[in-house]
Amino acid sequence: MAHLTGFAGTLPSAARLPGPPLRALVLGAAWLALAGATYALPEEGDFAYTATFAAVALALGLALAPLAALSARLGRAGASLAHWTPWLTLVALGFLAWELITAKFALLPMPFFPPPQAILEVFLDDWPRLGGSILASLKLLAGGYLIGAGLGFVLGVAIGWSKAVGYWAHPILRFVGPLPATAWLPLAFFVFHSSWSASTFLIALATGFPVTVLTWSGVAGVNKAYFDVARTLGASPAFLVLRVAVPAALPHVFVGLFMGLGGAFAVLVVAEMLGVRAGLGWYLQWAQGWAAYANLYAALIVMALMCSGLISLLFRFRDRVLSWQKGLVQW
Amino acid sequence: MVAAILERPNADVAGSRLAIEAVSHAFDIRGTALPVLDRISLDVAPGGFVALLGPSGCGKSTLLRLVAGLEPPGAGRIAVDGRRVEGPDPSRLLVFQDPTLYPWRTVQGNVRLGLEARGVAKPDRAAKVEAALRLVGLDGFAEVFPHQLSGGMAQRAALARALVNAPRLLLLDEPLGKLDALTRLALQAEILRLWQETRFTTLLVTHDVEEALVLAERVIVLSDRPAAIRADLPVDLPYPRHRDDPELVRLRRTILGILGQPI
Repeated sequence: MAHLTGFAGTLPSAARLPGPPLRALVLGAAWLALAGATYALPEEGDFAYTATFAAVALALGLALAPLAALSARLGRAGASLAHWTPWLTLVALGFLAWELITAKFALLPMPFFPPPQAILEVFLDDWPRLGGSILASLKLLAGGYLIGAGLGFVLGVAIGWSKAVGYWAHPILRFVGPLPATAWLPLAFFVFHSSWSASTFLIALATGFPVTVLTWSGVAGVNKAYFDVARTLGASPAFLVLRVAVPAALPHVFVGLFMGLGGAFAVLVVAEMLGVRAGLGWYLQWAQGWAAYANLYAALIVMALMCSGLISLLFRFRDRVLSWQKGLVQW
Repeated sequence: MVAAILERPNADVAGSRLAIEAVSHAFDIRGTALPVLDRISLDVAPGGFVALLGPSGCGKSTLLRLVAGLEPPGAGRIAVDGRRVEGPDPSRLLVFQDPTLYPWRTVQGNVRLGLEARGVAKPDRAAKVEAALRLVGLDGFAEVFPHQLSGGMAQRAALARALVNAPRLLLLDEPLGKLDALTRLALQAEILRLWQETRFTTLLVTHDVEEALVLAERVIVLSDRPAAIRADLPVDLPYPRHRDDPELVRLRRTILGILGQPI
């Protein structure tokens, strides 16, 4: 029993690891080792930013180690740093391993697996094109997502509320909805005048289907007693929809919005690879065409950051809108 | 004084007259009609407090839904103050067994619901909501969300949500049915006080004989489904009533006898 509680108690606090001072020391040592190995060992190939990468690692090691050692006195930022210290150590060791098997010992075939400094080089030299691609992707995504989410929400409320709308919309949704939005791609590119409007349509479609279905099920599943209460209090039909059905259905709507965002990412990348001549998907395609594999990895990293950033943003938005759920639902 | 803010300005008696004339009703269960009410006739004087007692599932709640106007009766006529009931109206309010507070609104937001639905001007809302909350003893809980309330407090909030609209007929559908014994006693006293202060007509559905006898001026005993009136007993005792008052005990035996229960 004592063993069990001990085990459960130590898990969350990054235990089974040495205490804070020693952990800070290991963290600093890991980054300094990365800096040293990167700078001092001879490399197989010619990389312009090896010294820069080593300098960055050195600076991180010199900054992080003392901060981690003093984390107990640094308030919330210190607590956060203490929490992430094991991860930061692992990142340094990961970079070190990556550095060694690519640039230093060339254990992996070279053009396909560039070392970290080659990717740093892309970020430092090609950032205008990379940045422009992010903006292009965000613009296309935002347009399609907002249109799809908006229409899906309205349609979902209409289907959930009105039997007549449900009668006509239900078979269409059943038939067309499960089709992956990317299947429309060839059709969309000749129906629409520009590849941009075609892609917007596809992203809206990918977003709209889950939002519609979940909004609909949310509205249809609202406790009937809520409507009885509002009706006896003198509510108009508009009030029943906007102030009762919609707020009660919002938790479902957000599930749809999350699913829609995932679908929108997938369509975005495919559309950019196949038709739109801008954006991160296009950048990936372009990098592959020129065998610029470092650019490929750089774009993947940026894309991962963008997608996870947008998901976090949606989480924040949901937490704000559904703040009444705090304590009601665990997440 | 608190009640004065909620009361209608130009009404001598706050309560409505309720007339139920030969009302029958049936549910449609997959094509077959299941009769639930059998020619119920009942008159309630303005400001009266009538309890409907009957075995569970006998159709008591259905009768309240018909009076509230949530459904039209299959046959017969329901009139309030001489006017036929044709739909829900905020002057006739139903308090359910479950508080059915909206979880996304604070207590204050829930109580404000009727005022918003009827388009009461914003400046007037705050005072009325505050008065209603004070009336049920929930002042200080305005900003709390329903899931943070106990069962008794949630039911108080549901009462406030009804009372803020100054109803003239209050329909209570086993409002205390799911509460623990002590909370139930406290809320019975509360309902009595509210009724005495505001004098709305009250129709209480319950299957607790004692609750009916402690609160109501008249107890209607209903039969099994389809519900028909088995007895109409006046309870001519002064308030506050004692549970072991000999007359009350005698009435309790009579009612339990009518309901076919061992005494």
